[in-house]
Amino acid sequence: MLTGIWNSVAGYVIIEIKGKGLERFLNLAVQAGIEIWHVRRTGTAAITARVSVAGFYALHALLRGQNVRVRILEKRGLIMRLSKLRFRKALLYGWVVVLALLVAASRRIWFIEVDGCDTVQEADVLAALDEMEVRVGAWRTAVHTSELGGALMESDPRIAWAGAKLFGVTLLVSLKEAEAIPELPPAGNETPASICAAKDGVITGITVYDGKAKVHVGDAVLAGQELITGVLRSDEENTLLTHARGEVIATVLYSFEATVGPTLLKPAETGETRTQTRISLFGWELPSKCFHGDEAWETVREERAGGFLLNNCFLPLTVEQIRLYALAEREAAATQEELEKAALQKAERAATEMLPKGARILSKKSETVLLENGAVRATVFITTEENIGETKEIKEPHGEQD
Amino acid sequence: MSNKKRKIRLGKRIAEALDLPDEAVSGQPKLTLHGRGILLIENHKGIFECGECVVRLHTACGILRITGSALTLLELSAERLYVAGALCSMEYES
Repeated sequence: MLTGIWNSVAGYVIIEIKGKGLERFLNLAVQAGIEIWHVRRTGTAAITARVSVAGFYALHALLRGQNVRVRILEKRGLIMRLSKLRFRKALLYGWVVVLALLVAASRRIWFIEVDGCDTVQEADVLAALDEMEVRVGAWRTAVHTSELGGALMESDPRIAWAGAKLFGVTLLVSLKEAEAIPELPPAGNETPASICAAKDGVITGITVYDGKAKVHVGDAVLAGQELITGVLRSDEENTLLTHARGEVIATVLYSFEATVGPTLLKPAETGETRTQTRISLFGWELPSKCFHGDEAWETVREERAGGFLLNNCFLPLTVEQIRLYALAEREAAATQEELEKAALQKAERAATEMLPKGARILSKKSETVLLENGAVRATVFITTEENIGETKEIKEPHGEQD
Repeated sequence: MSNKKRKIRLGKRIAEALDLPDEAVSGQPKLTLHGRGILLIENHKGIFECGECVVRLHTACGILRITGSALTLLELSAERLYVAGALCSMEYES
């Protein structure tokens, strides 16, 4: 296989050997070490074979005294093809120009990739680079990657670290954005206060800005329990109070219930019908009078009553007679599946309304129970992570409890 | 016993003792058939006839006759030879 690839690159010739004693000539060629392959009889006194270019010249030395003639039928291989192009000067100059253009183009930056953008927009980074004369088409040698990172960090305070690397004609800029500094609750309210739990939960994180933490991560707390106290010192000598500030994150479990059934509101035909013609051309429906938007009818069911299609000819025209049935919602018996679906939807709607806005949902699961009267009760359990701390003013001086 | 026969026997004994392949010492042809399309002949002594339906080769055991259709000598060297085509038979001519 490798020999075949090499021969197709280096080139070979298909020759025809004619004369008497062809086998003897082949034996001579083989003994002389000439590479010869694909030997095939084509006539009573003729064979075709393939030899390398060097082998073909070597064959001529063996022809003397042999009653055979050798002629080339075909030249094959990459070298042979390229050698045919050597007289085409314009093509040669074209290649030279292309090569020169490639070399010239490879000395410039053609792509800029920015990696690590989250809050910082890529367009902002590219604009900052543009101000530093680093843009698509800039010379590669003009870009000092070691200084580029520092310059980018100075250009935008949100960038904590920046680095640049050149990969060929691509400039890769990597960023690490600065972590957002947590906003402190506004100070100034000096009324002594503590932070208590607004809900039951398990503490997952606590940050104290002012006051003293009374609970730790992993503690289960009950609603009303003091989480961060505003009493810093309370003994015989002195009492020191402050307005406790902080954030207490906890996982909180919610459950929402909804009961639906045993009947459901379902669309049912009122008995009113109307027929109209619908024309569509190239898939677009031409405007026509329709029940849609008619306030007297809540919903409309369509049925194709007749008409003709011209979809198969070059003009995609459709003319249809549509019969419209007015529908109205009425109480009707429902299957258990329909009731379960409706109950779950109702419970989830209630959950969406009741959950605090800042709460992050960690998990959600639901269960349904078929009641004796045929109704279905769905319960949705949602675990959230949220700040459960609420500030409560300290009204009476009391001793610190550890 | 002639010297030639003694040499062959000695060669065989050495090949047996050294666990060498027999054809490497004795010069006898080795034929390897790949399906029905390709035949590899090692240790041939030259081409006697090269036709479209028959290829005859000199070997140490005599003339080896290979018959078939559309026969082609795929690779040709002093040691080995590949015959490709729709092979029908191989036989030594008496």
